[in-house]
Amino acid sequence: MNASMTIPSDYQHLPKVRAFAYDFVRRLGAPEKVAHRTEFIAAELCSNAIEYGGGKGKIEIDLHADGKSITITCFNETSDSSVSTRLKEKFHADFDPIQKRGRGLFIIRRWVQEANFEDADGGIRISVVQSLSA
Amino acid sequence: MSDVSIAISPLEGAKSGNVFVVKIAGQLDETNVDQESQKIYALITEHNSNLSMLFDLKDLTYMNSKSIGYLTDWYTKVTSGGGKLVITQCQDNVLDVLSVVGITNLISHFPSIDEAKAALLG
Repeated sequence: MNASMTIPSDYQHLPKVRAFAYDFVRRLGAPEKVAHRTEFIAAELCSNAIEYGGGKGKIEIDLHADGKSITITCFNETSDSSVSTRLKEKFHADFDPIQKRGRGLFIIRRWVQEANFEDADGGIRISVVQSLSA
Repeated sequence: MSDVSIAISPLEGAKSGNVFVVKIAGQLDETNVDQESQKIYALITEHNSNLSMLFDLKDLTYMNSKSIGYLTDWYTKVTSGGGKLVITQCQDNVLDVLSVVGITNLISHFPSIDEAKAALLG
C-alpha cells in the first residue's frame, strides 16, 4: 500500500501531514501506538525539511507499507548539499534529555529500524523504516 | 494553526500563592508552540522563585519535539528557583514520546491529579 502527499514548505501544513500519516497506518489495521509514532515521525521529518530548506519549495512525503513495516520518505528541494550530512550526524549524535535541540531526530532514531539520508534530484531524501508491530 | 488552549489557575489547597495548575488541551506543535509557550514563560517570570507547577495534560493529544524542549526548559527554570514541576494524566501517545526521550526520568508523571497534587504539596 502506498500514499503520498505534497505540501508547501510551511509549518502551517504539518497538521495535514500528521493526519495523513496517522490515517494511513490505521487503515492498515496497525495498532494506534504505531500510528501515533508514524504521525510524529512524518511531522518531524517535514519540520526538519522546512527548517533546513529555508521555507522554500515543496516537500513530498511518501508512505509505503509492506505488511511488516512502513517506509516513510521525505524529500525537499535544497541547493545546500551539506544538509543531509548534518542531519545524519544529528540523527546519530548522543542526546541529553535536558538539551533544547535535536530531540526530534533522537526520537525518530529510537523508533525506527533503518534510516537513509541522501542527496538526490536536487534535494535531500530521508527514508526511515518503522515496524508495524507495537 | 492547530487548536490548543492553556489555562492557568492557582492550585486549590496550596498554602503558598506560588503553586499553579496548567491545563493544556489540544495539540502543541510547530504552528502554535512558540506563541503559546509565552504564557508559561510569563508565569515563570512573574513568580521567579519557589514557583511550582502541575501540568494537567489530560486533554493534550499531541506534542512535537519542540514542545518537549520547552517543557524541559520550564522544568529547569522552575527547579532552579527552588520549586517543583510535575505532570499528570498524560494520554498514552504523549507519554510514549516523553518516555522515549527520557523526560519521565527527569519530570515526575502521575496517573491521577490527586497523586500529582500530593507530590507537589507534600
